[in-house]
Amino acid sequence: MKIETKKQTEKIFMIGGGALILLFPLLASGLQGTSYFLTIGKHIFLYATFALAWDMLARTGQVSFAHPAFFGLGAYFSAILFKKYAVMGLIPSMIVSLILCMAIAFALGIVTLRLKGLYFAIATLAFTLVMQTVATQLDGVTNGTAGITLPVILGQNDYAIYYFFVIFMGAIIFLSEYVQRSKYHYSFTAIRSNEEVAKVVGIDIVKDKVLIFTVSSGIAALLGMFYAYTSNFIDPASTFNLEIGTMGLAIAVLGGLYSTIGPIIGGFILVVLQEVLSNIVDTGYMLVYGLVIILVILFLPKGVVGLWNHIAEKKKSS
Amino acid sequence: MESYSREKEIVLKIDKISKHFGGLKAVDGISFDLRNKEILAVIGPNGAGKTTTFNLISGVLPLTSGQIYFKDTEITNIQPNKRCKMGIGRTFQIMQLFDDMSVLDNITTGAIFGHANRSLKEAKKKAEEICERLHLTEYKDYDSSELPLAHRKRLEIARAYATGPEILLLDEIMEGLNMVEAKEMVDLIKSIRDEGISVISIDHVMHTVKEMADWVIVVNYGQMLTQGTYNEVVNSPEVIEAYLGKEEED
Amino acid sequence: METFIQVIVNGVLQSGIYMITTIGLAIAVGIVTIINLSHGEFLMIGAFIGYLFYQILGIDPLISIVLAGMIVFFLGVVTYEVSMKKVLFTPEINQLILTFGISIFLHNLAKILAGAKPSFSLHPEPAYSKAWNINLIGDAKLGIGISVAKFIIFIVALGIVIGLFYILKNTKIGKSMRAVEQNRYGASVVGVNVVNTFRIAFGISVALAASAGVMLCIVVSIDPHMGFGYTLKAFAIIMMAGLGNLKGVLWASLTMGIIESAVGTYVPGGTGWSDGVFFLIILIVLIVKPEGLFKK
Repeated sequence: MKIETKKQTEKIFMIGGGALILLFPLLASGLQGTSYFLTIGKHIFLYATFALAWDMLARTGQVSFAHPAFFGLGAYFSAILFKKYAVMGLIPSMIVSLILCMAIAFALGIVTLRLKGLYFAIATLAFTLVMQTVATQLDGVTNGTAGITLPVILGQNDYAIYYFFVIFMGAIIFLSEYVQRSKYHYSFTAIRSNEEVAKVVGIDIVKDKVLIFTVSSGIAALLGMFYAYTSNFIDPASTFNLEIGTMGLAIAVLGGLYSTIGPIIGGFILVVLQEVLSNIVDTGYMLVYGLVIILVILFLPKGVVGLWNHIAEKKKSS
Repeated sequence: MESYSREKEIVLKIDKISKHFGGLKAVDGISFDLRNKEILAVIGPNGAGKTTTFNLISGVLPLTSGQIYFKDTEITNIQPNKRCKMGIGRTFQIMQLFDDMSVLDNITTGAIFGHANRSLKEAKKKAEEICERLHLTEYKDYDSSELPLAHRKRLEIARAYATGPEILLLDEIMEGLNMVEAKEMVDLIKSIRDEGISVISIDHVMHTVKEMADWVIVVNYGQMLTQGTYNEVVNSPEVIEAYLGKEEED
Repeated sequence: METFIQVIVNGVLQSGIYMITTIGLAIAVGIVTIINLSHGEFLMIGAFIGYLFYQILGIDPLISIVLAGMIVFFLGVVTYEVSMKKVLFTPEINQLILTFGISIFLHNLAKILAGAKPSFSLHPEPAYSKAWNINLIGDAKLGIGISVAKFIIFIVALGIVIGLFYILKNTKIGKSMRAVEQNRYGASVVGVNVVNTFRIAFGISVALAASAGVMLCIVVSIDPHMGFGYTLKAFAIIMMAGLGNLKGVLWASLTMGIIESAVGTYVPGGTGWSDGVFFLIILIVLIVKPEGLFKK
């Protein structure tokens, strides 16, 4: 019964939300400031996908702060190869960057394997801060704080960029749902519950933890690249940005952890909220943003999806 | 019971295993073997090294010294997940169910990963069967944390059983059960044995040991005191000494 | 050689502030079992209390160390009551996010209150903001400089640390705190008021951060964003010391203070690298020896 409700919730959100996302540019095209709305759309998809990738890893109990590092590394590897030294084309540079990032993630995943909870969180946080310093200080290679100016892909067309991010988000939603319906769902949940016991029921926790860490970090790297080539400019502060990581985490929690739909809904709510607030209150909208996070954790710990399921169940039983 | 003969093939051979934590010798040179289709009870006071022995057999802890053989294969240095796939299943004294999962999903998890190449679909089907067999069907969609104690114990067994073990290690599975529940549990364990699964059971409850154990080993201070059938063991002087006063409680 | 001594001296003096900030956080993590990402914001609040008391009321910051400690103690108790209390037994991730939210809230509040001015330093500087120049081997060229203010701060910090260890060892509340750290259920059985102990321990935790903040306002310029960096460093030092190892925190603070100072001096482009090196060391420690470097 519980599971039934949950599935229904997801279906409603998926179909309704999907239709809205796809049709939105058409509806908005008549309005003034279409490009503004499309940019917000891009931000929603960027953050929601980021949060979803983060959540896929969190399903194994690994709370990672390394995602901003891979976001930044992805952007920088590609930008350095393609723009700064111009040794290869755009697409090859992105492929090489992705491979490098996943190799680094693989190595980091292995060395941090036995760390749990807070230890893992701090280790990955330290990794991000080290990478941030390297990107800032190695200015011969990275241009340091001066940053790198990049061409914008897809002919700078806001509609094309919008749909590009929609498609990528769709692909990651698909991946996440595949995970949820596969053996991995069971092994991830078991690992999150108790690693020792997971081993004893036959789960290869080393393989599964490293695998999802690598994949999840790889998605962050791809998002870093997409961000770079749709933003015209990158510098260490905007890419190796701890705020992106913590926002990803807040989005997943707000929407509801360990689900596909949660981070997507959370991303929509938080990005729109931030946008609206920054328009209404000139300064200090971040204050309200902090307050929202506090209130969600205190009063809505299972997120929006949890609340929705709760309401749906009450209706059913009454 | 007296006439029980231990001539069946050895499925698990424990050869002088030790586990030292710093200066503490939790397990100190224990040797015994488990025969096919046998229920072997391990008894002994708290802190005797029983659960540590299980941790060594299932691979949760590395050994300080000694060897473990599963049938003809040495498994001393094999990872716990591989031991499970080979056919060693276990339960935990302090129940360690996957709290974020339903009852059925707990069993399904065992059914997937205990076997080398089993599809999710097969595993789900198998889990439903096991649920039925262990009388958990009624509760299959409950969170495991919502179950009453006796059912949680049964779920522990169900998850271990779902991994398809040839050897099943049961840690204090009788603890906290009332007479009726204990009787059901004894019948269940016997029926599992009769299917061809060998069982090692750590047990404090003497009447259930008496009822189901084919062979009993007694450990204390990390060492084996004696072994034999139930009657042999309870009448041995070493055991009477170690258990003096303890007998009355049980 | 004199640079080397200078590096050590600077590092040691810096470590005093790390010590009390980190011991404060270690109390929250070890005793209250709250992973407090907003710890540094209480340091920032302390810094602004010290600054404002000095600029407006003319109170010497050395006195404000105590005043800010008391004010923030109560602020901490209130924060604990309205928020932390509710996530005590929830998964770590809930705590991380709640306290992250509190961090965002507090530093943005400070940002609004601070207005357009990006940073603040005491004006005029207190009388002790000067340096002693000590000549080694009687040669003026081989001298090292010791900031009087930093020296005083270090001594005060040591005093606070000693006082704290005394409290933990000898007073009723200190004993309750250690009992709760060992075993909260056991502690409640033997009559420790666990709820009250948590409340007070959390108050002390953030009060320590606040007093470190006041010390900072004497020697550096302060700003609303200064807190989070200290949160991260304090967590890093705790990890290096090993969770639950208060004495180890002292050694780890000393080590990190000296390393930071050395990197700032010897590595080209130094100060920019020092944070990176700091966290690289922490990462390596966590990977190689996650139980911490120092004996309990």
